[in-house]
Amino acid sequence: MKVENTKQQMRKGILEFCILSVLKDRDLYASEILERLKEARLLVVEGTLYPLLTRLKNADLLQYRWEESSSGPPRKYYTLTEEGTQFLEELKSTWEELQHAINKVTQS
Amino acid sequence: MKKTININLAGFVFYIDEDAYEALQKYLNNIRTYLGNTEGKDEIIDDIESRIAELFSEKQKQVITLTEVNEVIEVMGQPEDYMSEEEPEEKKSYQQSSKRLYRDPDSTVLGGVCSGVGHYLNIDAVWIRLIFLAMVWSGVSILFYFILWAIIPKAETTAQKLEMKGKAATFSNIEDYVRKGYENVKDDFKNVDLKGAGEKAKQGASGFFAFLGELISKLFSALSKLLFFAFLGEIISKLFSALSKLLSFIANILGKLLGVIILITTVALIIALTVSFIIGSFIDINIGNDLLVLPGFEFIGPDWGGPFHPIWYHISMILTFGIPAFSLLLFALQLLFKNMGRLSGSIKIGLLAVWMISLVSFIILSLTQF
Repeated sequence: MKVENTKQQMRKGILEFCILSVLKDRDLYASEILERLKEARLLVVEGTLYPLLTRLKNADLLQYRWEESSSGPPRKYYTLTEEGTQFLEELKSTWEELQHAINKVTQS
Repeated sequence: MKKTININLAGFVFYIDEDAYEALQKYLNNIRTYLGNTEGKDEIIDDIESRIAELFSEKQKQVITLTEVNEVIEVMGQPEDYMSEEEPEEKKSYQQSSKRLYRDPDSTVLGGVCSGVGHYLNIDAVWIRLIFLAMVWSGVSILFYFILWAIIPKAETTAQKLEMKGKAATFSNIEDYVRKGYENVKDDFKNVDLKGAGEKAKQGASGFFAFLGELISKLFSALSKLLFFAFLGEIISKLFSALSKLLSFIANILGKLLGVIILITTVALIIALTVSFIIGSFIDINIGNDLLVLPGFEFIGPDWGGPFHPIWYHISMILTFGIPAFSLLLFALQLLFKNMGRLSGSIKIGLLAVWMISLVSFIILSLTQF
């Protein structure tokens, strides 16, 4: 058992939650989401994001619209759907519970 | 100086070096293979291409070189990273899945049944074919073959082919497999003149019974599902699979036993041949002048050993029986010791040719002798 694997697993488990979270306040396109996640060191490689986005979109948690870009190819701007917002709320409360629980366990 | 290629990535045109293009192409293909049948695969690929286009245009270079491509691949990650988040339970079942029975479309004589069974039992397909051929006289095996042809699915995707050979369908295995396939094709081209009829004496007799066990358990589990006795069927099929393991163990021993029997028989045969040759020579030395001389060929005297001299009769006889005995000996040794060396294809063909010539001469000379 490698610590790197476990770390990665932990990160991956909360990735969906984080993607939905960064989209809560404003619409972003893939590279901006990447930037935010990379800043927080949640992502190691970018490739992981795309299958996730597609899956969230297919689950009707996200939707996107095309926007032209001056410097590159057209961009897909992702938005939370109604369902996505609800989903996020639930994840958030679970996360808070977890955080509380983990604090309690690790500090005692 | 390098040749460049024009590519269109997400609607943008890039000039890219030829080697860089190949690297990028390989990378995208790997991802495609790795994503397999994931839902929304095309969309994911489009997104990735569009991101790569963006990264390329950020670099603001006239020509994309291998350096840029490698940088992009580093940022994007290896194909494995794409899947790691995708339905982990499905991936797990992929890796756990051991061998499955498929027909092998890559090495077929008819429908690939025998080679598929061979992969399943981990023995060379030649054996299975021999068993089928040996049973043709009973008429059952032909019917049996067609039934198997109908019920065993063909291995079509690379993942299925890996499953057929009992490897987990991970990405590096798939790459390995594809590379091997390529090398095989290359080798085939190189060895095109050596590939011939005598190519197929290989080893590894075991597990026909294991196959029978698997078949029966398959039939049984299908039947039980039909009758909604799934639970009972499960137990029985478990029982059968345990039984088939035992049978495969027994079959392994039987294979060795067969090897010993063939070995003993062959050695006895060779001794008998040698003895009869020596005795035969003595007899023929005594009656050696009693040669049949064809009209018109009187000048061929016994003194200089012409084509009808008894020595040729003996040589052809010894070769006619000796070569099969020799092959049988080799075969037995290969049965017994997995790592026995094998004859090269050209030697086999040579032996076959010599054998046929000696067989014909033996028949002709036998007719002229008596």
